Amino acid sequence: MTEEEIKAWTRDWQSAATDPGPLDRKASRELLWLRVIVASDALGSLACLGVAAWFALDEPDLLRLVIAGGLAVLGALGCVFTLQNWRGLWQDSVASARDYLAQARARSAARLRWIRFGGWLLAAELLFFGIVIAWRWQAGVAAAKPLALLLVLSFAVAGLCFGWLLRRERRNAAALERMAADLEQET
Amino acid sequence: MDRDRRHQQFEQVLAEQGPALARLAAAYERRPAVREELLQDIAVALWQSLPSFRGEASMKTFVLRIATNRAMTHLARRPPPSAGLDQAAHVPDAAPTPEALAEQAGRAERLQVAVAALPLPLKQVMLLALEGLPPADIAAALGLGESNVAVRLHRAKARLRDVLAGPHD
Repeated sequence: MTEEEIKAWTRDWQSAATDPGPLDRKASRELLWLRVIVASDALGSLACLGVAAWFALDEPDLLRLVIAGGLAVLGALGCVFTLQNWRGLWQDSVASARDYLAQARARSAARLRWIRFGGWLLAAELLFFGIVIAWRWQAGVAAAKPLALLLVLSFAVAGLCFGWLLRRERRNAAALERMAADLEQET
Repeated sequence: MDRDRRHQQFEQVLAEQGPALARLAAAYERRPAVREELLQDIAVALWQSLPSFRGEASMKTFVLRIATNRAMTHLARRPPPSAGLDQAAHVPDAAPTPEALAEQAGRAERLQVAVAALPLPLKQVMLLALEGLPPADIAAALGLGESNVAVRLHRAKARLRDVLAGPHD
């Protein structure tokens, strides 16, 4: 293998007709989308807290206080878990490919923990709201029946979404593990 | 870094390194529609990482390192359908005219297919070498020792040579 051959390859390689397209516009769109997601997450949490506070304080009675308190506890648990889970993983690593892959695996593990925790949180919410609705059903409140149906349906949809997310992230984690093993093998 | 300056730098980097990014994306992702997604991911990562550029390596090295990193997570998320390395031997030459340019286009296309079909550890090294990065920069970008880079490069060259020397349709 001659140096001339390598130079010819490099020439051929760099002569390939390539057009990346309007990358700056693509990046701007994607960044805007990311900001919208982050902002809606924060606004959603604030709205939940606001609604819970209004619900408890508007006509304070035991039931309303219990519901608002339960929501606040579950919300706080979610916030604490999110902060703990993603600690140290926010910054994008610009180090070597090896460091980046290690970070990608850590992020994937964090996403798996987040999805599993989300599943448990969902189950806790289902139990909590189920008890509250059963309590109102027994007290003869007419709205309890449709609310129970709505609860079951919405949690079934959320459960399916979590299942899909879990399967997708497991596939991603397995692919990252295989990639790390392949790269280590060549070392 | 203020926002305007960052934006200006971002546009300049994309103008200068855009073709290299497109070549790299084409080698990691052969499906054109999915390649757009990869290029977008790379552009976003570049925008986010630009403030951390300290000039310790060249801008090209910095950009290619980010693109290589992003390509790995892309491959994990969107694994490619399996394709054999010998596929490159069957890429037809561009219209068989006597013009050297057309011939070079055919060779470039075969080379792209052959590089794309290399196993990841060899492809990473070969791509950066073909973009003109010196071995020390390749080693730093991939987190490897220089001797390991040399070994991988040697293997990659041997495989490419075998494929490219094969029969063409």
